[in-house]
Amino acid sequence: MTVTTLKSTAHDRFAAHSNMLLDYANRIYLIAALVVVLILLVCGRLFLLVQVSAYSKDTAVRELETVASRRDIVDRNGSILATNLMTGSLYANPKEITNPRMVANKIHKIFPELDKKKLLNKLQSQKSFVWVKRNVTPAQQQKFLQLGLVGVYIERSEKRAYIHGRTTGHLLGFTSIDMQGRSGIERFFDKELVGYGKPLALSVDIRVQNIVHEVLGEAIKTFSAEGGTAVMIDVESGEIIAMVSFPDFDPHMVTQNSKAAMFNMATQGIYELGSIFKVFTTVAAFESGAVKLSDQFDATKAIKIGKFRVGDYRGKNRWLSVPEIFIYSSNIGAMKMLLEMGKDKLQETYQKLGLFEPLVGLEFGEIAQPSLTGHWSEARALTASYGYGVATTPLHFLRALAAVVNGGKLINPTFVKGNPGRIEQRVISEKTSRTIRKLMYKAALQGTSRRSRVNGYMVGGKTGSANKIIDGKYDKKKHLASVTTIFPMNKPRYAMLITLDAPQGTKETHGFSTGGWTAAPVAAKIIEQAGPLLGVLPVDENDEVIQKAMYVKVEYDNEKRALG
Amino acid sequence: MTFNIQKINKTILLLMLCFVCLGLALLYDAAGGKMDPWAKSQLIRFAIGLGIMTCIIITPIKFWIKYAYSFYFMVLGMLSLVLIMGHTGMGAQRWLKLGPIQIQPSEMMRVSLILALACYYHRRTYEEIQKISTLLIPMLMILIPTALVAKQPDLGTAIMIFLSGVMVLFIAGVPKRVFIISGIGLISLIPIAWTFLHTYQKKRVLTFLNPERDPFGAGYHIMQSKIALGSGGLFGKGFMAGTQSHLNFLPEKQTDFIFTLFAEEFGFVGSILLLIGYLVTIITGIYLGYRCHSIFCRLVAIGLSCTIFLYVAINIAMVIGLVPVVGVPLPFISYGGTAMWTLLITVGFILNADRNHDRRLERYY
Repeated sequence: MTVTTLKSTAHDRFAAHSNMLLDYANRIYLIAALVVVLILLVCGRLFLLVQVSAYSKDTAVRELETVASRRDIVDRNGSILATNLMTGSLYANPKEITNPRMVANKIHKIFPELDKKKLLNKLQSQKSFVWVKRNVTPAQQQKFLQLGLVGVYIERSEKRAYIHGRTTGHLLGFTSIDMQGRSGIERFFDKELVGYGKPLALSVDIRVQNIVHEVLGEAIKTFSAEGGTAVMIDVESGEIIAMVSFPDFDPHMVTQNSKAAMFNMATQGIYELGSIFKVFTTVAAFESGAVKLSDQFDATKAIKIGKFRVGDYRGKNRWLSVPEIFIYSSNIGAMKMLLEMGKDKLQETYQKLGLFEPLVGLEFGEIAQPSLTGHWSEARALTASYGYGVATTPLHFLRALAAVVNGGKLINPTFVKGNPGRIEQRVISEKTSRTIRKLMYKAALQGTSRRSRVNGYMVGGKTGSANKIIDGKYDKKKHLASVTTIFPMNKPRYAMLITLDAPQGTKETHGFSTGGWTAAPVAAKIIEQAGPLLGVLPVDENDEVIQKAMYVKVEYDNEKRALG
Repeated sequence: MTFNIQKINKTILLLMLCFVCLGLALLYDAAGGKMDPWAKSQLIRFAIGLGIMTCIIITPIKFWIKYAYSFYFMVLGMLSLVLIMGHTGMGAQRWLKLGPIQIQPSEMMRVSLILALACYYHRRTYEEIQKISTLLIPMLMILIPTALVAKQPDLGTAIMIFLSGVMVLFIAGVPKRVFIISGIGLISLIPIAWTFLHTYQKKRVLTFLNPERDPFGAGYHIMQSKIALGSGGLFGKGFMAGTQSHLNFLPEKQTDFIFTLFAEEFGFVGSILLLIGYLVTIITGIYLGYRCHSIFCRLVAIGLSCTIFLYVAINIAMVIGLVPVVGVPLPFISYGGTAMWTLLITVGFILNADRNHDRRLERYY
């Protein structure tokens, strides 16, 4: 008897124990199964997302295309910049409303932000159409429909949405509440954008545009500048890759913006850019045949123009070679070159490079037209040789600069991908273009624009600072600090102009606020970030082949002067 | 018992290293091809975390059983301290400043809760566990930190702490009917809980249910991440070639939404591979727990593996719009010091438990 009890308890215990183990195991299996199933569920969802986007080509948002009555605007890679969002707008026919007070009360409950009195006045008016509320959310529409009011209706409408807001503010412009383009691309292509169809593909790369917007915005803050602009252009195709102007504005809330923010420095601002123009002076000098790369000029004494004496900023006070004049940005040297080639040659080169000609073919409304009045006197030409007294827009400048570095072809700048209306015109010789490339590369290597360098990207550049003109007079305290940058200099592809409006020096810049200190680092930051995106591969700049191709003798030659 | 490096599970260690390397590459990418500001500091944090992890692995398991409760109460104390005098970051009180370092006690709670629960059940018999009365203390152990974290407010972590605790209870053998009944109870509580949520939390949930409700507000995150995932296609755009990484679509692209960056550049195939990697890690962790002889080791290994699972599941589900946006990082990959350390500590405990898998451990030390 006792034996069987013992046996059965042992058996029971064993059974209980194995039950327990089984229970534990089952629970663990269940948890493991749960993990597997949930992860599979996530995989399934991912698959659906990919399926959907494969079906609708580029992005998931593209579904909107079928219902939109204004075409999307996309960047060069198909990334959406402007699209339409469906909304509804409330309108009323006051003649159909029998009890305006009751209707006003009910509507006011859904839209407490509306002014009750104004609303009542609208509903009591003698018109047969009044807007009650534009752009109503679906939830509010639902609530409104539940009221079942007579005389108040919903009109399905759309709202233009700019995915990147301020970043593309000046570029795209904005539309009115009736979806009519009021500025920028929206206004220029207003007719073409109306209706259904393929999106309008711009030449702009939104990734680069965003980098430029961010970096320039930061620099403006750092240097407490009043504003600034940065434009990047493809020198081979004329396509504008990025265009930013500060102060910027939010295209969704245009009424709040001041007029100053709407001003597009890149296309509407006519500025004296200062020493950057020495690029063109050097071009003119070479093209005239009067000046050779191996020439040297006496830059020891300031030159008198009328009652002013013009010297060099931190000058070397010695003879300078032509490359040195360029690299150290010598005013005296530039004037000497002008005197050598004769005053008409500079004006002629400016005109050839289109610095004062209309921007033919540019798909943009807000463009200022710089002008070049009359025939230049020698004094006028002398000041122009170092970039004073001649003013143009950043975009005019870039068109000319692109021609200078791309082998001498003046190409129309464009905002449309692929530059369908391409106009090309040879304006300077291949040889001059090649020489200028080397000089700009050297200037970035050891001259004033060295802070715009990013190792490996073969950056070339030239800086400039010019006093601002306020009410027709030069303001000695405020100036425009600029830098122009080209990369990669051995096979130029992208050119930039960055201009800061009235920057202030900081501790880090030792109080300096010139282009070399304020604008040049902006260029470096942009190239550093945008270079890889644009597919520009960094090279070893010390490579023998590259060194040889970019070689230019800079040093002033003492013996030669003695001989000459 | 002497420490034997041969007994450390290599699968989990290796996978973890892969995730960390991938994370560093993505942070480098997110910064536009630079080590600063994220990749470098993440690397330093990883090195420190690796040290902490090693310490945890080599500490005798007895020590952790002995001090599991103390550890738990210490973290609980810090959690309360955060509420009283925490440093407010991004609208929520989560950080505690200890000299030069800032820590997030809510992250540490994920680990210490599981240790404490494992210790509690380690000291109970199967029969005791079957009694409802035994459940009272563990419930408090779970609910108090959950409430404290939810109060910060950090809904994501609170949910994770709660769920991982419940998973430990389930593995420990708490009667199944308890889960069924409380599951029904919880669902009926939802309307009440709703009133306790912050406005922004409500907004997130509502937006999740209908993303088109507010395309430029809270739903924007989800809409944009869906676009990014979709635009990656089957094989992705390639490393460093994504649009997202160089735009400001997603304000926190380096933390919670790093998966979008990954998915855009490595596509559907890359995403599936990443998920499989996580799945293998988690299942391995569960298997390691399964073969443990002692309750403590088993609960620690499985409980912590489930924590990793919750990280992955909630993060990715959030990014692809399956659940509302709550701040949960992608394990080993997202940027963030405390999260990285917590995960290394988690792995440390799983490996320590596994190292002792064939030992029978005393209830008290």
